Amino acid sequence: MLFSKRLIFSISCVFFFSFSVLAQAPNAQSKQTKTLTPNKIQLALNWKAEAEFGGFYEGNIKNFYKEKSLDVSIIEGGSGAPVPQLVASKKVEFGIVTGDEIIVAQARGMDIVALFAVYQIFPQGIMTHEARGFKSLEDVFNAPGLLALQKGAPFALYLEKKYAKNKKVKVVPFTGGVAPFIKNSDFSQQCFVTSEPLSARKMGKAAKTFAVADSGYNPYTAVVIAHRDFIKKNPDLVDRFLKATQLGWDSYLKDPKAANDFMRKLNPSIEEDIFQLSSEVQVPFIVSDETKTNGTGFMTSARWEELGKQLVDVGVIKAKELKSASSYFEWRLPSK
Amino acid sequence: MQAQFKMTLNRFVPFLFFCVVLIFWEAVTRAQWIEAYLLPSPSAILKVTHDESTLLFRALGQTFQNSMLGLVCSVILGTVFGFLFARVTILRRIFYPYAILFQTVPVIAVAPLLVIWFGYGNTSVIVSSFIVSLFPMLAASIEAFRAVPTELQDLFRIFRSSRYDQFKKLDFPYALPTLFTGLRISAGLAIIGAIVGEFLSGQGLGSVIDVAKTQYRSDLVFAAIALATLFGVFMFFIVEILIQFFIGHWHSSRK
Amino acid sequence: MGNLDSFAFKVDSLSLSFQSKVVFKNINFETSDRQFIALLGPSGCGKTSLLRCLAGLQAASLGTIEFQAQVGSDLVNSKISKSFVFQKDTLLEWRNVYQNVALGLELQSLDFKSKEIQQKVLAALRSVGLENVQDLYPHQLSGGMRMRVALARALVVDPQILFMDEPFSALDEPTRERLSVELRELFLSRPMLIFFVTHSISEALFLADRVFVMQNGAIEEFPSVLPSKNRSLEHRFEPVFVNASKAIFRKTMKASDASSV
Repeated sequence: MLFSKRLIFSISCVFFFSFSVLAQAPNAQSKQTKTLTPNKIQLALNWKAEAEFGGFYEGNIKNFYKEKSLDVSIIEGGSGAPVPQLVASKKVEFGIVTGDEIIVAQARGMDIVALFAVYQIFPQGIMTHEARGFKSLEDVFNAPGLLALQKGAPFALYLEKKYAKNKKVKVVPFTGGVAPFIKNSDFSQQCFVTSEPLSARKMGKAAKTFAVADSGYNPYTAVVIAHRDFIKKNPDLVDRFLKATQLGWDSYLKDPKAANDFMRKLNPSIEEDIFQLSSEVQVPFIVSDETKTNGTGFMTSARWEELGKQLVDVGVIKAKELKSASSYFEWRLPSK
Repeated sequence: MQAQFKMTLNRFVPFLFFCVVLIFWEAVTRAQWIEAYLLPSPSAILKVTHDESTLLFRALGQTFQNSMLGLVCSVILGTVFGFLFARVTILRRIFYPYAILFQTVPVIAVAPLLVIWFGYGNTSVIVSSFIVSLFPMLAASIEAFRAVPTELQDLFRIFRSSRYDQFKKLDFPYALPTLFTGLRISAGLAIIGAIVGEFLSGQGLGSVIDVAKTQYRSDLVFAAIALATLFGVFMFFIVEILIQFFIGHWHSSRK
Repeated sequence: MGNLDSFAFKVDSLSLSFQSKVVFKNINFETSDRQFIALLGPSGCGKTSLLRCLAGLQAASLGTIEFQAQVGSDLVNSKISKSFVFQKDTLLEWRNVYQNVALGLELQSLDFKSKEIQQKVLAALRSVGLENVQDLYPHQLSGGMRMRVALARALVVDPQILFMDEPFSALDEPTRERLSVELRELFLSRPMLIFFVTHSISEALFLADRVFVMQNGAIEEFPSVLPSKNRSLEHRFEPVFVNASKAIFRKTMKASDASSV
């Protein structure tokens, strides 16, 4: 009797001890890939699943996130999705926005920070009917007709200010899609160079597209953001997420097919060939000499400083609201 | 004395409650329990109303114009077609189902189409306002003109009244209270329809809200919304005054 | 305004069917232009339909209504002036008493404000005792007063035929009795043919010269048992009145037993 009691007691101690060791294990092994409970996080997109988000979906499909113990839910957005507010109020951990939104958001009290810029070049363009023979954006503004731009968007304010002299075109609000463009031969509109011009060409209307970036306004686009506090409190998680994201994008850039097929299931409104074309057309916007050296998603202070000055110049933020570049972004990934 | 005190208290209490809400709202936003970019404080809203008063009040004027024109169209067409549908059964059977579409169609989805058809000016806004405010007037009108008691119609026939006399002296006055009920609802909807249309074209309050939203200026968004709301309340009182003026001497809406 | 000073009113083989159901069949009677005729019967026996046919508001399926030598069943368009008093007093709520009474004259395109109109309206109001409330609106009046206004409205056009469809049935007993007396007095003071629909035997016998009891789509006539003038409510308790009521009652009971099988 005494013997078995002691035996039971010893065995219980061994079990108890092992459990505590195992329970400690995740903390001790935080840098290793094998853990018991992955972190559940959410990534809020600012549009529906499209080629511009391919790398993120690739991160899930090829298990890059999973291998870093991250369980990433990608939430699609739509027109007017309040991504900055979602991240600023800590409803989601990460979000995707355009670079200028970050500067404006900080001026309004939202403490969000840029971490990873997919698009090195601003993919916003102005598409015009090829038959009109425009040679530059200045031509577009100096000719009669209609130009649809999103009211109040910083890039629209920039263009209107830059080409204000001799302006003849009538700026009208942008309502989405390409229907007015197809119908009206003197209609020009904003577009994403990776989508609307492709759709228009498919519908038989050849478009000549001018990149807004060429006019001097060039914010990083499809930028990953997080709340400053979140980064401070979870530096390791953030780094894991960024590394896996970079792996996802590099993989997607090599071969987008798997992610494209997945995204098309989520967003069947875009035809397969357009999807494929978009993922090809966007490559030069994502890959540059800088990213080849420093890694996909790289950002520099100079770009942020210039963008800040431009936003003050068009009046979206006041001069006193402008902060230093270092408060707008953090580049945490090691160079290749 | 006590009764009088109670009476003044009754009138004062709603106003007092409103002040308490305002103070609580100001305190909550100042203490940063709710961030300014989600919910601006009343003082911030007042400040931006003052700073941007030209923009806001010009926009209010536009919305006023657009919604009132839309409302006039829906009142006239709603009343006329309601009368026709009430009196000619076959017309009602054919066209009323389509009229219900006016009620159910999501205007915000149709608005881009309106811009394509009617251009980028105020016309598409007026049409949007009309679409949203038509149905209550139409429905009220059909009900109003169907409800005229047969006895009264018989009486007018016995007295050998002309059709025009019957409409002017019986159908229309009898229908007025119900028509006003429709107007109460349509007036508010006309404003909503105008603002939805203005998200996409024109220069009214909807346009201000859209631009302010793009630039994350929540204080301006709320200021525009507040003005739109006050406008709606104003229209409500106008309709009540009209009701009192035209039928108050014989019709109590509390009957 | 009637062009005919006096006329005979003749109904011949009047029938009405509705959706293969017979409402009334083969109604025949004649009357002069000064009679008070009650149409008596329970609810749903078709008396209102008969009244409306007589008034020309509804076309009969068969038969004719004649005036003297004038042939034509469309009473509304003939030159005889008619009025109608309904069960619901159906005043125009947005007009005051004066304007309600003036309605009939107004619709016959006489000038609303002329002195003649004013005199007629005031006379009609006086005959029902309401000359002091001409500025009030219907919602300010009691049920009895509203019915008096409806009566005044009917009388102001000097009707030669007055059609009344259970006008007092929605009123309380004392008011009903008082208005019955007043109506009989009014009838005696001006020449009229009155068709009065009711379901009350005592009301029919008190008011009418001839009582048409309606059953199974046919009418059977019972003459009045009261003197033409000076009828009082107390007459209702006289044996001759009670007997006549009983006779009519028995008749209607028998028929309703038969029809309820």
